[in-house]
Parts: sequence; structure tokens; C-alpha cells
Amino acid sequence: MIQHRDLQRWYAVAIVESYRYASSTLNTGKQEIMTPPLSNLSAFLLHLNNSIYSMKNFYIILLCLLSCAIIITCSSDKKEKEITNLEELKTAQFAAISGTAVDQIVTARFPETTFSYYNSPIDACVAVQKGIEVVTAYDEPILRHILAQTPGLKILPQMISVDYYGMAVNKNNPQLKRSADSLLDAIQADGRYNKMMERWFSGNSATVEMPPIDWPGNNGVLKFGTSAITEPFAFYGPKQEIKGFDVEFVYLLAKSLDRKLEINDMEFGAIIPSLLSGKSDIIGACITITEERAKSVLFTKPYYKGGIAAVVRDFAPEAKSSRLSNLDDLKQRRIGVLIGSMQDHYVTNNFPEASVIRIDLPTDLATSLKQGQCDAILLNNVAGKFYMKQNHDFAFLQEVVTIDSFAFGFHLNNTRLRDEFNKFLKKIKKDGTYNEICRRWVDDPEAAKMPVIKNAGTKGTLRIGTTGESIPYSFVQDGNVVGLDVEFILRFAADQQLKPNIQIYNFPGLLTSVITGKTDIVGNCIMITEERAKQMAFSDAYFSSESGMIVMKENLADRNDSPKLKNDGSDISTATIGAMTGTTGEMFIRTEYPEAGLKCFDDIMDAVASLQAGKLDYVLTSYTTAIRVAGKNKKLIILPNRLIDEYAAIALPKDQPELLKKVNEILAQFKKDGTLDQIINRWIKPDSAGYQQVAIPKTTKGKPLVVAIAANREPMCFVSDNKITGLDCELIERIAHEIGRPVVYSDMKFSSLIAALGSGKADLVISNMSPTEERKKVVNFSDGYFMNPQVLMTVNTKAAGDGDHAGTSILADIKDSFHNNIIHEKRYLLLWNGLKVTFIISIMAALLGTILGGLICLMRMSKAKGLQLFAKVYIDLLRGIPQVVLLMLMFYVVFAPLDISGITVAIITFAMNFAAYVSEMFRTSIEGVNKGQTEAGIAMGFSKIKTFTYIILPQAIQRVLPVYKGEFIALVKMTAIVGYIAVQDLTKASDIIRSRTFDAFFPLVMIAIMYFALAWVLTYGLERIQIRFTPGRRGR
Amino acid sequence: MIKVEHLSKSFGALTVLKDINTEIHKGEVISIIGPSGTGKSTFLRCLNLLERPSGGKIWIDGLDIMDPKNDPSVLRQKMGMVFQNFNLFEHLSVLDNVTIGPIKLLKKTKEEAEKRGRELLKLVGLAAKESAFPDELSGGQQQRVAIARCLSMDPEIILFDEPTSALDPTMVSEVLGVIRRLATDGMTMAIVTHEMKFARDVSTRVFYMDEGIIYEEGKPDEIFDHPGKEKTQTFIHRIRNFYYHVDNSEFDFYDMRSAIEAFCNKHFFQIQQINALNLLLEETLQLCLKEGDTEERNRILSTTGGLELTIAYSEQNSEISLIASADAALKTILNQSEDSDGLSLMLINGLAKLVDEKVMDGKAILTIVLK
Repeated sequence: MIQHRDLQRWYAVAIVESYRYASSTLNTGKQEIMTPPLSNLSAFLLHLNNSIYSMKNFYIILLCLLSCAIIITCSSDKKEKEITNLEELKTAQFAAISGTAVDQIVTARFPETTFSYYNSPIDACVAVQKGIEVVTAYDEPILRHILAQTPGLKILPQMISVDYYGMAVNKNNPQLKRSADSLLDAIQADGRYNKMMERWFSGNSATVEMPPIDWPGNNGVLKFGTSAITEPFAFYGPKQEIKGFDVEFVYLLAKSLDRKLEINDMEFGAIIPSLLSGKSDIIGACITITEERAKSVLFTKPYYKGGIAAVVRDFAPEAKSSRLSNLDDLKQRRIGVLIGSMQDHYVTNNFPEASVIRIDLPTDLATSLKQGQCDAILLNNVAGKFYMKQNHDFAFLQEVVTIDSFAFGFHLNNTRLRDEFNKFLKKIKKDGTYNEICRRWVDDPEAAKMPVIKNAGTKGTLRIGTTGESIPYSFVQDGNVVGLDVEFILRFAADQQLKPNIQIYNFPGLLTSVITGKTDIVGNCIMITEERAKQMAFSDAYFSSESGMIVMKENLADRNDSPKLKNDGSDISTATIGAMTGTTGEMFIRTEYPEAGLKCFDDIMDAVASLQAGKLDYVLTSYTTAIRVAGKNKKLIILPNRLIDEYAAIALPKDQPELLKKVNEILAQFKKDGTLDQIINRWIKPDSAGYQQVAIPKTTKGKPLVVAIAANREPMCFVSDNKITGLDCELIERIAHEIGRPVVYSDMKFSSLIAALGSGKADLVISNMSPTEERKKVVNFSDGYFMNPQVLMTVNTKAAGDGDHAGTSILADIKDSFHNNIIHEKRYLLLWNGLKVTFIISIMAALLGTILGGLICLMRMSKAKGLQLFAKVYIDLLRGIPQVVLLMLMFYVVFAPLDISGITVAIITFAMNFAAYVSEMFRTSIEGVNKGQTEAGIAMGFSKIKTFTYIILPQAIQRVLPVYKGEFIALVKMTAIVGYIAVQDLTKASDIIRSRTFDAFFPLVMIAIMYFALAWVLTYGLERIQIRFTPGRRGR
Repeated sequence: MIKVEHLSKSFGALTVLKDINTEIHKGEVISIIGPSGTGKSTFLRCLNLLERPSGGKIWIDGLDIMDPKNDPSVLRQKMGMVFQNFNLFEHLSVLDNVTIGPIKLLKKTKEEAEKRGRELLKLVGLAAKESAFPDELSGGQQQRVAIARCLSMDPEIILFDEPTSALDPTMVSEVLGVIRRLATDGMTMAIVTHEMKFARDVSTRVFYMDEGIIYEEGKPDEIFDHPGKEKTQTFIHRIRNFYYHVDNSEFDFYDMRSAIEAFCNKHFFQIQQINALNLLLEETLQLCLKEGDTEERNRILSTTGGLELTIAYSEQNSEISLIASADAALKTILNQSEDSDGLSLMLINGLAKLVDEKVMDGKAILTIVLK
């Protein structure tokens, strides 16, 4: 058990350390800036952390990371218990503060405790907060002060020891004591005392203003001695003034006595002597009333009851104390914003006490909220609502906080292009294209499809910069960058007949790219700020978005504690519902339940998969479809409530009223004589048993009745055995028979049916079509022949409670995760292309770098002093610059004026870096070859060059290969940073995928494996080469 | 074939070769002998320009090799060189070592080169090792491969730079055997060596080098039996000296013993000779340091620079002598007058054929020649 605890502690320390490291390297003052790789890393670590308690992920990790699994095995069975009672700590280990008497006091109470020592109470509290320590103990008021700033901790109600704090006066001045006592009674009676407590102990005592001295002070001076290091009793405020609870009390005292106040700050040890010597009239500085002290001074009534208190972890801090109800509650919390955004500006100005977490991708922002790295995020609502749909745990704290305008950015000197764009913007606003674009992307970006934009592209190239990670403005769909901004730009490019060339950057890089002229236009929900306007030219604002503050639902004060699904349809207004694109169901949810999360699918199977994966609460679909799906999948149930009563009818052209009349008559007859019911019973079956085939009377002569049909709607009309069949078919064939005409089917897409009718290509349409207002405008509908209500389908929770369910759900989870991250939208193509890029960069950089390294090595070994010096400087310089910095320097500065692709720049940069390292390897291995070898070669008659080629080089290669191999693998891994210069490599591919799936785990593990595999393959290749160059070792 | 005039070579301030003048003719086998540090190897390395001479001229077949017009690489192909440390190409197998030159330089086909290579390996007795790598061979085997490698280039002359110095004594003969065979076949050779017997047997001419010049040259009989000059005589007769310095009676006896033993082994002293020498030394030191007024004698030794021991071995007549010298203040090295029992002196007299003690130039010198 002890081992378990140690391991757990070690693990926690490791995580805390990694955070500390992360923040220490990137802290700028008080506020943290997280760069994407770092936040990825921390998100990943957190993910690991979470998975300790989550059996699901535990198994995934077990499969993938053996080493992690060891740690988890050691810790997963141990669940920390929340401590509520002091007695539970009898044998605990306390975090004590070295140099204090706390440990003695604790030992006096609980003799069996042990201690670990920290330097300050804050450190000890943080250790408890992070779970490294179980409990710490210290002076209660100080702890209260710390806890006000450190969430996740609580003070146990029982004290370890109880002390009273009071002020003291000289023994021969009992009158002052009486005044103080009566003042204390008075303020306790009229509530001023409570307000003071609230003010000073709320955690932001530094900002509390002291009341002004507004009394004349006719009765002399009151000398107050204190030690101003006892926040919040007495301490120095930001303006170097002494303030605090004790000080305010003395203010009041002086006022009541009408005496001037003189405050003297001194060492704590000196305040009692100052009282005795008459230098102070009254002293106060969190002084504990002890018998010993009472012998020499006269204490006032205790104004504060404190003592040594124990602090433990509070496992549900949000639930109890820190729920959020409005923006003011965020004052001292962690608010996440996009780095450099308007929201950043807003939060910095309006929440000066909050810690601002600046992140450069919206995706990471959402992840950080989910992972609890921030308490709230301020994000524009288009993106924000999208994330809320993805994530049921998110909720608005306040929907409209700011309103921002977005614009496209251009190079400062390229105002011509900017003006062209503004003209273009005006044009599309006029002709309606603008509205169309906005509607497309804002409503449901996931389902939206980028229209094909014809572009002659004859007048040159338009270099476009975007991130591809800001849904819905710019994101990757099926391997293409799409989105609102992208469509605007592509349309603009088409308008200008410029060939679009889209480059992907991270957000800071994006702005740099247009400033340095790497790109002509950048669009990525860029907000217009004054600072940016100094560096780039902005177009007119094309879009404005409100920003809302998003928090975790569970932190929201005004929500119910159990928003859990009841699974009976009663929670539909807040649930996430899947519907078929363009159906009445979709319209229904949009209009009736605007707050519900709506996801549109083209294929019912996708919707069902999402439902089973828990991404959806319900799927809304027609009853016929629901029956079919639920019949095949026993886990799904159809809820009894019918949301919309929809019916299917036959559509006829407007100019055929007689035919319509006839059809209606026949339908009425069928309804009457039970034929229709028979037909329906034949085809609509809850179980998926075979359809009953009956002979349908047919007319063979006469003018054929052309029936337009979309035969992909089982059981209404579908193809079976290469024949169109189904309920609709049987009905229409029977109707045709009644009319006396043979039926000829014309199978087409559903969307073409009405058009076929209008153009006279068909006489009527029967295809499970429901009459809508829109359709009614162009065609006539018969009476309804089949009631097909929209119903809700959900997962049967009862069936899911079985024991074997856990196993299948893990598998389903992995499968689903795999599907979502790899298969869905052909995301494996992203990974594959990323792998190719990584491979090409690695190989090319290694080849080029080896050649360059050889040259540098020759220079380094040459006799010419100049060359030698050059090589030495080159090596030192290149080895001394971080690769990321070098890469960005090359891309944004050195090669900025040239139009070179990011991959080329990456290859050149890595080659240069590689050359610096390998040249020294080459040199040492060449110098390592015995001098006698050269002599022997020369003496045999080889020229110097031949000696080198035939004798020295093979031996040097033999020596250098093992180290070269290591350096090469390092190079492969180093290429992971090329995302900085808009190259989509393997790492970037995983970033893009994660931006869509919010799954930190799978894509990262996936690329980890791919990097490993790539490195392994390349190592293997080099090993083959090494064997070739190693004499006589071939067989060994 | 090779003509050398006024050849000189210095490394910085150190002049190694002063003025070398000689001529080597086709078919000659030249042995170059002389004390260490007299430029024997440097002379050899100057001949194929591994070291650039500081002055003088060298003609090979009438071509001035220092003339920039003449490519030294082509000249070197005609002059093979065998190194003290073999310097076989470590990344190549034995066969590849003897074929790389012909293939890359003489543009022979692989088959031709390998055929000839195998012949040469057979000649040096290593046909079975053709696919071995240098680090798998013993020193003697490596040196024989090196000789075969030289021969693979069909050189007109082979320069041997102390070919047996880096070898264990047991392997010396296998290498010398190969060189002897080459000599019988009429190969022109220049051999820097310390193997006097070998030099005498195999060579047609012997150069004794000293003071940066060819001090004396002649037929082996002349040089070894009747050396004309004094330095040559010394070298031939007393060529092997071992020095040891003893400060006082507290010296490291075991260090001295092991050093002497190494010296003896190097010159193939017989075991009886080694034992006799050790005994002789022990008794001499006993009489010198441990008899009589030892305190006073030790004080004198410590203050006047101690006792110099020299063991001299002459290959000429296989004489081993022990020479001890000290300051004259010690008066006598063998303190026989106060010998407590006379046993030490008796032993010395029994082992030596000559015991001679005299005072010369302020030094007391004792010479004992072993029987």
C-alpha cells in the first residue's frame, strides 16, 4: 500500500512538474500563454491523468503504452477519499511549514502523524491541491486568505487547536481596552464586523480601500503598533499604505475616540515591548491571546477566533462554493481567450484580476475548458455554438459579451487588392451571394458543402493564408480547406481570375505571413484591431459576431444538478438530436426547439452510429425508417411520442386536375374497402421479416402512366431483385389498374422528382413524399395514403445495463474513436499525406544535409584558414540556434522575398542544421582513421584524392554510421515543427484531426506510432547500409 | 637506379639528415643499420617522398623526383614500402588488400588481379587466409600480407621500414624468411633493421648511419668484421647497452630486475646467462651498498649523483658485461676489504672472466665481464 501511495505521489509530482515547467518556460508575468504544442502536451498529460479513473481509457492505454500502463496499474485501484472529518487525519502525513510550531501542535493532538516539510504555507496548499499531500495545517486566518485564491481546497470545520486573536493595550490603560471592547460589541451588533470580515477575508484584501480619515482628532494621538506582514490583519497595500482588518479596527477606534491615528510598523517581536515602553498605545497584528502574554499586557476582547486548521482537498469545489451565475463570478477565475484577439483585449481590460489563459486555436480553447484548465472561455458565438453542439457539457454563462467585426487582411502596401476585395464584397452583398455563403456555413458547418467555384485563373496566383482550424470560418473537410472565410476568398479569387493557392498557418504565423508578404490575403475570423491595422491593411468588415462566455454546464449555478438524460424524450429541448438533412424533421427541430443541439446527416446510418457512440441523444426520423433501423439494431428503441404527423401523398402536375380527382377517388375507395390497410400491413413491419409477395392485377394495354420514383426508400419504394418494389409501387400499380393504364417507372433522384413532374417527363410522383408548403406551390398532392410520423429513436438504456455491455462498449469506443479519427471524412488521407510530407522532408533534408555536411567537413579540415573559420562559425551558429527559430527565420525573413514552398524551406533548413551536426561527426570519424592508412595508400601510389576515396572514406563511413543513424532519427522527429511554416506534416495532420474530433488521445497515439514506424523503417534501411560497409560483419 | 645527392631533412630546428650521398643499383639489397634517432627511417621515407626533403636531389631512373613535373604517385608505384606497423587496409579482406592497387592503379581486371593476388599470397604462405580481415591475423601474418601487397604492384624496389620491430620475437623469423626469399629472387631492396645477423646474411651492402649521414658503408663482412671507423666499431661491438641509475640503497630493486629481464629477453640471452647476470648484479650491489660503513657510502652516493649501472651486450662476440661507475669519493665500488665473509666476492669471481676496477677522470669504474 505504501508503494502504491508513493507511486501515485510520484505520478502526481511528475504531472505537476511538467506543468510547472510548461508555465515557467512560457510565463509572462502572471498570465500564461499556451502555444499549441504545449497545450497539446498538457492536454495529453491531462488526458492521461483523467484516464487513471476511467477504465475505458485505461484499457486503450494498456494496449498502446505499456509503460504508462504500469503506472496506472499501480494507481488505478486507489481512489482518493474525500476527507470531511479531522479524526480521519489521525495517522495522516501532514504538510508542515518548516520553522513553525505547527508540527508540534499537530503532534500534540495526533501523536501518530508524520510530516513532510514545505517552505511556505502556499507551497503546502498547492501540494495538497495537486494531490501530492493529503493535508496541511497552519494558522486559520492565513489559510483562509490562501484558500480564497486557491480553488479546490477546503478548511476542515474542526480546528486542531483553537486560538483567539485580540489587540493589546498597556496594563495601566484599561480605559482604552474598555473603549476597544465596546467598539467591538457595537460593530458586531450592527453588522459592520461581518462586513469587515467579508472585505478582508475574501482573498482580494489587497484591493480593499481603507475608509478615509475624516475626523478632526481633537483628543490627541492614538499610537498603533503593528507588524505589517500579517495579511489580511495588517499589511502593505499596493500604494505602500498599511491596511488590514486590525488597521481598520483601529481606524474605527480612533474615530470613536476622536484621536489622530499614528501607525508604526515594526518587527513582530518588537510590538509588545513597544507597548510596554509606551511607544504604542495599542497593538494588533494577528496576536494570539496566550496566558504568557496576558501577564505583561492587557488584551481586548478577542475579535477573531482562529487557530491551527487543517486544509484538505475539496473534491467538488464547483458544486459547493464556486458556481457561476454571472460574469462577476469570473472576476478571479481563469478565462481562456484566443491570443491577441479582441476577446483577449476585452478580458484583460475588464477582468484585471482574472488570470487570462491565451491560446492560439479555438479548438485548444474548447479543449482547455473541457479539461478544466480554464473556468470560462470567451469566444465568438459562431465558433462557440459549434463547440457547444459538439460538447454537451458547455453552456453559455452570458451569450453576448462583446460584438466583434471580422475582416480579411492584406499586405500594407497592397491596398489595390484590398480595394478590389471591398468592391467584390459590396457586389456579393447586393446579389445575395453573401447571404447564401453566411447561411451555408453558420447554420451547420459540419454538414455544409463547399460549392464548386469556377475559376479561369488566368491572371496569376492569389496566395491565401488561413489556419484550417477555425470552424466554421476555415476548417478542413474531406482533406480540403473550406469554410466561410475560405469561400469568400475563393469567390474573390474567381472574381479576379486569380488561381487560388491556399497555405495553412497557425494563427500568429498567419498574420506574420501577410505582413511579410508570404501571402496576399489572409482570412480566419481575423478581428480588426488598431495594432494589427498598423501592420496590415484590412478589408471592410465582412462579418460580425457576438462573443459569449462559455463555461462548463456543471459550473453553471442556475442549471439543475442532474441534467442527465431521462431517455424518454421529455428533455428534447436541450438534447442533441440528429436529423436527416432537408427533412421536415430538421425544420421542426430548428423552429420548435432552437436550443436543442441539431446535427444533420445525409445517411441514417451515420446518425445511428453517432447515436450509439453517445454523440447524440436522439435521432429524429420517419417512422418507417425507424422501424427498419430498430428492427436491425436491438439496442435502439423508438419512443412512442410522435413529433410531427407527416403523411405521404402522390404528387401530380398542376395541369392535370382530372387525374388528381381520379386518384383521390380511388384512394378513398381503397381506404374504405381495406385495400390500403392490407397494402400497408404487407410492407410496414416492425421486424425485418421478408415481405409478403402478392399478385397485383396489372393492365398491359393503353397509354402508359409514367411514374417518377426515387427507389431508395425501403420499404416504401426500393429495388429488390433488380425490380422496383415496395408499398408505393403496389399502391400505384393498383391505382393504375383501376384507371386502366400500365405503369412505367422512371427511377431518379429524390430531388429531381418534382422537376420531372414539372417538365412533363412523368405523369405522377409516388415516393414517400410528404406535401410541404413549398412543394404545394408547384405541384398538386393527392390525399395522404400513408401516415408516416417523425419519431425519436434512442439507445435502450435498459438493455445496455448488462454485464457484458462494458466489454462491448470499450470495443465500440475504440472502434468509434478509430472511425471518427481515421476513417470518417477519409481522415487517413490527411495522415497519409502528412506522413509523405514528413518522409520527404526527412529524406531530402538528410541527403542534402549529408552533402552539405561533407562540404562543411572538408572546409573544416582544409588548410585554408578562411574556410576553416567559416566552417567553424557555421557549425557553432547552426548548433546554437533552436530549430524552430531557425525555421521561422528562414521562412519569414531569409526566403520571404522568394516564392518558395514551405516544404522546400523546411528541407533547406533541416539540411543546414543536419549538416552542422554531421560535419563534426564526419570530421571525427575521418580523423579517427589511422594515419598509417593514408601513408600506406600514398606509398602504394594512390593520389591523395584516391587514397581518401578508396581507403579513408570507407573506413570513416563505417565509423560514422552508428552515430549518423541516431542523428538521422533525431532529424525525423525534429520535422514535427514544420507546422510553424504552414507545412502539413504528420503532426499538423493530427492537429487538424483533433480540431475536428476533440479527441486528444487517438490522433496523438496514432501519429506517435507512425513516427515510430517511420523511424524504425529508416533505421532499418540505414542498418542495411551499415552492414554493407562493415567488412566481414555481414554474417555475424 | 636511385641516386641521392646532398639530401638533407630537418623537422623544425631538429636536423635529422645532414648530407646523404649514395647510389643504389638494381639487384642490390641494402641494409641500413645504426643507433635510434639517426634518420634511417627518415632517409627511407624521403626516397618515396612520404617526407619532403629539405634539400638535395634524388633521381630515380634518371628522373628528378622533386621536379613538380614528375607525378610522385607514378614514381611510388615503382617503389613498394613495407611499414613497421603493417598498415594493411583495415576495411578490406586480405585478398582485396593485394588486389586494390592493381585494379585501381594498374587498371588490371578483377580476375587478373585476383589470380596474381592469390599467387602472391601463396608466395608469402597465406593462401588460406585470403578472405580473412587484417584484425583477424597475427602481426607476422599481417606483415607478410603487407609484403604481398607491395609485390602486387610489381615494384622495382621495396623499401622496408623496420619490418620486424613491432613483432613478437616468435614472429620475426617468418617475416625475415619471406624477405630472404625475395633477396634470393633478385628483388632490389632497402631494409632498415636492427636484426644484425639478418642484415649480414641477406644484404649486398650495409649502410651504417650516424650523425645524419651515411657514416660508413661497405660489404657486410667489412662492416661487421672490420668496421673502419670508431663509432661503427662501438655500434657493432657494444651495440646493446642497458642503463640503470641507483641513487642509494633505497632504490626500487624489483623495477630494476624487471627492466633487466626485459632487456635480456629482447636479446635472446640464454636462461643461464640471465641468472648469472642477476646474481652478479645482486652481489655487486651487496658489496657496494650493504657492506662497510654503509651510512657514509650511501651519503656519498646520494650527494654525488649515485651509481650508474650499464649492461653491455656485444652481438659480435656475445659478450655480456656489467659496468658500474660512481664518483671517485666512493673510492671502491666493490667494498671487498670489509666484506664480512668474502662470499660475495667469491661468487663474482666465479661468474666473471674479468673483474677490473679503476679510478679514471674522477670516477670509480668497475667492469665485470660475464663468462
